[in-house]
Amino acid sequence: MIAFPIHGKPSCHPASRTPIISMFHLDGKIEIMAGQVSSAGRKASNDDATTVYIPDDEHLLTHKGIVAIIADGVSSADASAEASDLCIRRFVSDYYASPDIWTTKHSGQNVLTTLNRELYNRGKSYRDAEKGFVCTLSLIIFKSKTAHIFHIGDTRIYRLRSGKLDPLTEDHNLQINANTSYLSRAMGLDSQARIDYSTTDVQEGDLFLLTTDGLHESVDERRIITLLESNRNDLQKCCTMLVDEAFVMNSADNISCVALNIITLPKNSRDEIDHRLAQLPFPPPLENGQILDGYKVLREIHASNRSQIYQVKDEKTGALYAMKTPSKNFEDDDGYIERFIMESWIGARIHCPNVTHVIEQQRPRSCLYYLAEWVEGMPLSRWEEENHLPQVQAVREIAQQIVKGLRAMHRKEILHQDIKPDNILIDRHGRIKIIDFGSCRVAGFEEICGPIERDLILGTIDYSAPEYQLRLPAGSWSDLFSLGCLLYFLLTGELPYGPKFAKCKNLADFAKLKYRPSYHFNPDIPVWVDGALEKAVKVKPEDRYEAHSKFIADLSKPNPDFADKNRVPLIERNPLLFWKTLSGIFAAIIAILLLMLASG
Amino acid sequence: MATSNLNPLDLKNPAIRTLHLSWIAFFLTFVVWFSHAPLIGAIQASFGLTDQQVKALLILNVALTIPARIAIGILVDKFGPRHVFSGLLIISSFICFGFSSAQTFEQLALFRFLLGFVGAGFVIGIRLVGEWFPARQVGMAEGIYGGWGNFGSAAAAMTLPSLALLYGGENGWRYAIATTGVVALLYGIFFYFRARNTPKGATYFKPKKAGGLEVSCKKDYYFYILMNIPMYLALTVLTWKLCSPQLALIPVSVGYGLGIAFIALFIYQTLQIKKVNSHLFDENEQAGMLNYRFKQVAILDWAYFVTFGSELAVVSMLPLFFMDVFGLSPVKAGMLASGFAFMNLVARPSGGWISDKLGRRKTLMVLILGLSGGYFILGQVDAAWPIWLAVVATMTCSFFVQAGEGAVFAMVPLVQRRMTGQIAGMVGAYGNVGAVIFLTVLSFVDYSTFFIVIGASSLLTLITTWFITEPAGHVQEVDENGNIQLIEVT
Repeated sequence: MIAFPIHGKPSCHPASRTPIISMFHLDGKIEIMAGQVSSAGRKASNDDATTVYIPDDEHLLTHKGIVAIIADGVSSADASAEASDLCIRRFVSDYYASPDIWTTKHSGQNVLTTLNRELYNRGKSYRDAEKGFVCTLSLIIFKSKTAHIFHIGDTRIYRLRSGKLDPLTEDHNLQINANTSYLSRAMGLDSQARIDYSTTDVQEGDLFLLTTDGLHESVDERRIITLLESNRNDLQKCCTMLVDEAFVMNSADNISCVALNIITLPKNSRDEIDHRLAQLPFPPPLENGQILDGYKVLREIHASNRSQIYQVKDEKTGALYAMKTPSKNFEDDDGYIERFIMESWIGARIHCPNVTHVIEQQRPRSCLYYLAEWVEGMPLSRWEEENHLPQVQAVREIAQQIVKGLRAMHRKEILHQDIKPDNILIDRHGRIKIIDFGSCRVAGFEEICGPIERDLILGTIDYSAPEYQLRLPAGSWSDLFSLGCLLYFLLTGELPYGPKFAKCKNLADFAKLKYRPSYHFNPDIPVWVDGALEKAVKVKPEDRYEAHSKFIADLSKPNPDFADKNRVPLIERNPLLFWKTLSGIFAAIIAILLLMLASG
Repeated sequence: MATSNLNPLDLKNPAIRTLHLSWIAFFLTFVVWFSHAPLIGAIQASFGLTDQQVKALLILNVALTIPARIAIGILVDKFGPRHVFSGLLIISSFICFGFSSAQTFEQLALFRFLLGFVGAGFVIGIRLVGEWFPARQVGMAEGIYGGWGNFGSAAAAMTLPSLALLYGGENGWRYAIATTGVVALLYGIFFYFRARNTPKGATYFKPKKAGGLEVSCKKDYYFYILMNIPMYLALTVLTWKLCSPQLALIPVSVGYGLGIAFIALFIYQTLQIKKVNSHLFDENEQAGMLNYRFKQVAILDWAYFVTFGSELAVVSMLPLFFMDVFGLSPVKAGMLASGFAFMNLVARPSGGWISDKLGRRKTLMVLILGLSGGYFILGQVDAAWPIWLAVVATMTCSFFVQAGEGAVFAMVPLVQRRMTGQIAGMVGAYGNVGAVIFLTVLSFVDYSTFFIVIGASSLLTLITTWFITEPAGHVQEVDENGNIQLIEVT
């Protein structure tokens, strides 16, 4: 484990304060009062971040609860302010987008693990890991009568109940001597974050306080109790006083805190919700006109032995959606169910016009399914049939959009793994949407749940990169390979290596493959475009483009590297023409000889 | 339960085309597999076979099918249904040529034994149809596949005797049987070019490997091991029969060798089962999400033993029965005997349908009671009966038998969905065990006792079906506005 000092240089700047939110009211179920202050203190910049989020949507409130977060960017890290800010923003958006079927623990762990990956990978560009995107994080989720706590680093969460202040977290510090301590765990520090998870019961009248070290190292606990107790009805004022006090006590660091007062709790415990949702039944086969949870089935779009997709209309708003339901065939297959739910989360997390968006569940559900935005369009497989041997420009525009979608996925450490003509929709205006996240891999996910049983081949073999067959590491380069094959297919109606590709089993088989230049099938394709395609679908990942952007650039304007290809012999460029010409010449010679014989 | 708007005439739909391709392939395997039954009289005459030898041929025909099902299952996993089905058809056509040109009883026996392999074709198409149809339609599609395909034995019984006459002469039966081989060969090639393992763009998922069924508790584990013994017993009985002095097809020493091999195989299988179920013996390990009782599988096993097992046995001997009892010509006997398998077209699918509608346990019990009665009646048939009444009796009995098969397979997927393939495999194997046992019984007793034995064993099975539990699930209710409500069935 990497450890490093956390107390940075002292600063003499006056305190600056940023009050953000103060109080929330909610009818009926759970009522919480909150206050928060984050101040740079004596430092030049504020690396702390806090937030309290209470969803307006009642369904989300019931299933996901209320979140309060505090994060402290590690001062020795260059991007610490960015890290803490990203952490809380991303946590809120990803957590509330997580499937309602997941338990709080499962959702929190998944979100934090993927988030840690993202920070860690962004930080990798810095030479020392601790200089990158690193921050501490403590967060508390109030859901029905339970508080779920996720914690990593030295920020703290306290609970004040009947005059007693209990710390609910343990600092992840290594004490070297009286003056120096090292942070032993933090977000973005390691590829695998060890995050503490615990739960505690919540009672009406409980006060919770989240603090950064700038506060809890300067203000003693008795003072905290007094200030909290005396200001329990104005927590914003309480937070301000706590921060001021820390500043007066010569705190050298950023100073932040969030205070929460539990006013009322729901009458009925909803703890069993998690349990119940885990055993949701599969929906029956749906008939046109039937209504499921307020969504009316208009027609069945697609049904396979793995899932069904229907077009549905929201009875309340009239909005159209695509509803995907799991196939009865997998009713007791844990791995399948897990993957199905995962799919909906992937779709909900990615916001990109070129990736279909999965709609967060907005009302109580009676069975397992998910809704995605409705896209009026056709799959590229049909587009290819209708536009055989299309203009290169048209395919180029498609390529640019797919790359945008893929990039949005890769940025969140998600590999699509099944890019193929059937999984990409195109609408009347030529807009592209990537669909189907059934084969996606989310980095870090396997660490939490253990590997999903994968004795099956994911992806469609014609378009899937050789590394999947060879069981070598897959990455963005693998999606690039599939994209290359897809574009090749759109341009020519063929695949770059022909039918032999699908039969390859080992490296030797793949090594024997020969790339078939695309202009053999579609003479309009410039040699340099073919050069770009060939490079995208190289068998060895290291021979392909490093970045999708480079591929797009080479598709758009001639790369001089591929210019030499103009000089390829006719026999390679157009074997048919070559042999026709050659045969023609021979025929002519034979004719002449025959004539000579006849006349001689 | 669910409506399935499956239209078999919609030939533009590639899934429907695949269904037709598959059932015809399965149909042909049945034609080839039972091509000997209606011609057995002619074969007996031209070789001068004893009755014992004839009955031995009938048993040999179904013997290899028991282990072949496992082998075929592995091959399908590895190569996909398309290659295996066309391969099976093509190979079986050559075995068929071998049988039709045999010169000695030993050769006949060998090729009949090898043709037992063709009987395992069922498994392949079930997988193929499963790949092509969504859950909503797959039950119906598999019903059509199984029912229409099984009809192949009826088609053989109806056409082959006439075909043999048409070719004429002493060797007519040889040409008739060789013809089925030619058709299978040509269709095997056709199938290879037309069939696809999956719909376009979909992936063929290799199913999870398993050496045995996973069970939920220790008691079930021992129960399961116990239930494997009858399969080895059937093979042992067959070996013993072949060693017996009347037949002496194989030397006694080889018979002992085979017996030892069966024991070794049984031990190996038991070890595999133990490996799959290691979680039952490890205190630290948590059991999976299994909650089925093995008795469900065992009861379905026995139900299929008396339904499909008796069907295979009866289809093999019925032409002979009509010839012997009523002194009919082979053509007529074949035609009348085909009545039994003829019912497949409707009986099997409707068994599944009734079972879905009226409750599965009740349906199964009623059908087994019916077939047991049917067999007792067949046991009374003698030369004094008018022929038409005998035919009506066979057809009525066969309705219950095949509807019973449909009812068994309507329950198989509901035992434990994720292991449907394996459970279906075991149930299917029991069908073949039934055929071997019943045909062996036939080699000792007269026709009437044979039917009464089947009837009595059906009564025993009826008692076991009393203990089957109606599978639970969710039932959907649709209110007047079209809202779906799910109600848990307990």
